[in-house]
Amino acid sequence: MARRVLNVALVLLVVLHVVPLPGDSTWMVAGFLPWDLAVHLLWMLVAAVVVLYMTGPPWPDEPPPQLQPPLRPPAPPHGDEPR
Amino acid sequence: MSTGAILLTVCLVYLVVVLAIGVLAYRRTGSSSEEYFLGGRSARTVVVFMALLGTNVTPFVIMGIPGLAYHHGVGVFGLNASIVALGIPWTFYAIGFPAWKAARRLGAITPAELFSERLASPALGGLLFVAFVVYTLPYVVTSVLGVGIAVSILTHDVVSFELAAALILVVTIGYTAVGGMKATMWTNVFQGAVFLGLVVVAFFAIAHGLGGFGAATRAVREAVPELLSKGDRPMFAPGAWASWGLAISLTVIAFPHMMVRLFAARDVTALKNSCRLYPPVLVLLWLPAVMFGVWGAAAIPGLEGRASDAIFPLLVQEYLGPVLQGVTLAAVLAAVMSTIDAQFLTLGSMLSRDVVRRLAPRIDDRHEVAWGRVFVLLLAVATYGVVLWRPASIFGIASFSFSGYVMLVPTMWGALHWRRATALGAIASVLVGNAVLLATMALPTPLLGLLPVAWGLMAAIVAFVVGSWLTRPPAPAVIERALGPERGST
Repeated sequence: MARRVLNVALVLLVVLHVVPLPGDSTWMVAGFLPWDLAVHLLWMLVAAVVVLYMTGPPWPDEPPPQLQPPLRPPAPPHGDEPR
Repeated sequence: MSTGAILLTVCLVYLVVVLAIGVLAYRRTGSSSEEYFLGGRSARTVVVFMALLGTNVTPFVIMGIPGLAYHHGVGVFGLNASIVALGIPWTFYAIGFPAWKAARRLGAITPAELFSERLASPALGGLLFVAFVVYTLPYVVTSVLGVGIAVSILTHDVVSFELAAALILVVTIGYTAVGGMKATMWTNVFQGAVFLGLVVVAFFAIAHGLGGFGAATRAVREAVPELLSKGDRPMFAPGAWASWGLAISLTVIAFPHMMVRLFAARDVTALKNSCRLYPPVLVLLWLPAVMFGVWGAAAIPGLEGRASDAIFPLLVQEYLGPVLQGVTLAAVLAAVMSTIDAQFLTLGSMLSRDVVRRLAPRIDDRHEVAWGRVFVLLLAVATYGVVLWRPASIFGIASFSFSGYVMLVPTMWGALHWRRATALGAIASVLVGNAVLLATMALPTPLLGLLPVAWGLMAAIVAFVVGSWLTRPPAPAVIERALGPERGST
């Protein structure tokens, strides 16, 4: 379920990024920030929230370091090791 | 004290600190290849994030982007910055995290080694090595170009473009060759803090010099109002916009020097925190970068073509005092050194692991590292040659490089998520993707409005799927060794 929510959010964000939003492009937000720039800053704010969610429930479970198998030494090249 | 002396002093202090960190890291680095190339896989959040950021941010951001915004305006922000704030963390989640797990299982040190082990194909490792070298070299060139331009402007050509480029290569190779991964990651923390801090300070200081944020934007509205909106420029047309978004989002995970930084993470917390930190930090970097270019078009008009790559140092020279000019120079050096050290180290490690070790299986760790160092030296010489040639603008060279890296993404994603993937599918994907990319690059106009990278990526995906279906996958034991047991299996 969590991954489905994430996927929907990602698709919506990509669509919003590609489809031009309505608005007067000559408008200055707070007197200095052009509208076309402000819209993308707002988009980044929403993206930051989605990324925050992505690092929560949708992220695959990973056991803590002490429960993980020990690191394997660097692999020898092919042919050196029986498969 | 004269301006030149202040600039020199600030830069020398910066270089001494970097070398001191490199020496400290060297003393704490063991002699094994895993210690040298991956810092023993022990990096925590701050080091991993700053190393990723330091590696990711180059003169492409602090000089190439202002140069592009100088001609094309605020639309450059949406074209590049906003989509990567989502794209980079997502690729860390979808490709970086499974790659990190597989590299730990296999003991892989380089991306080429990881994917050749996963798909049981030394030939694939060799092909990936060649692709990584071909696309990393132009990227290194953009970094060194940036330094050359910034130094020659800020020192009024006392230090020439050619001398600056040579010096940066010599110093970076010095501490990289000695200290290895730990040195590059530790220095990246310092370097990342320097350029992030400078960009933010310069944003406010330059705005102040222009009479404040409102006055700076009003000046643009009077002189070049078309820069304050996206308008109908070809690069912002829907097809080009979407395909460039694809390129710049997917390319970062395919940088071999970024993936090895992920391999060096101690645990998953470091990876998750890096994802969380990316979007806000990108705003801090890219918003000033774009506004420098837009403000600069009104404040310092008349720069034609690739000459606009110099707009950031020109603004600094005009509106910041000598100390901040020195810090700017140090920040440009930091951005460059923190990237090319990682690029050189990674390419060196790939030569050692994916070429030399396969040709001479009984080579010991000490000689393996030595081969990597010699290769790095040769790469630096080649880089210097291309820098002197200077074939295009920073953005132009980087866009070629980024598009090429994207052709490797289907192989990376497929090998980590699709157990039916095969080496032949991967080899076909890399070759066909690159062939279509180069063929569409040769066309005078974008095909159906899409950039070459989109066509190359589609071809690479199709070739990967078809090639994999037509051939037999590796033995289940090989797949399980890299990806772990299949879900639902006992």
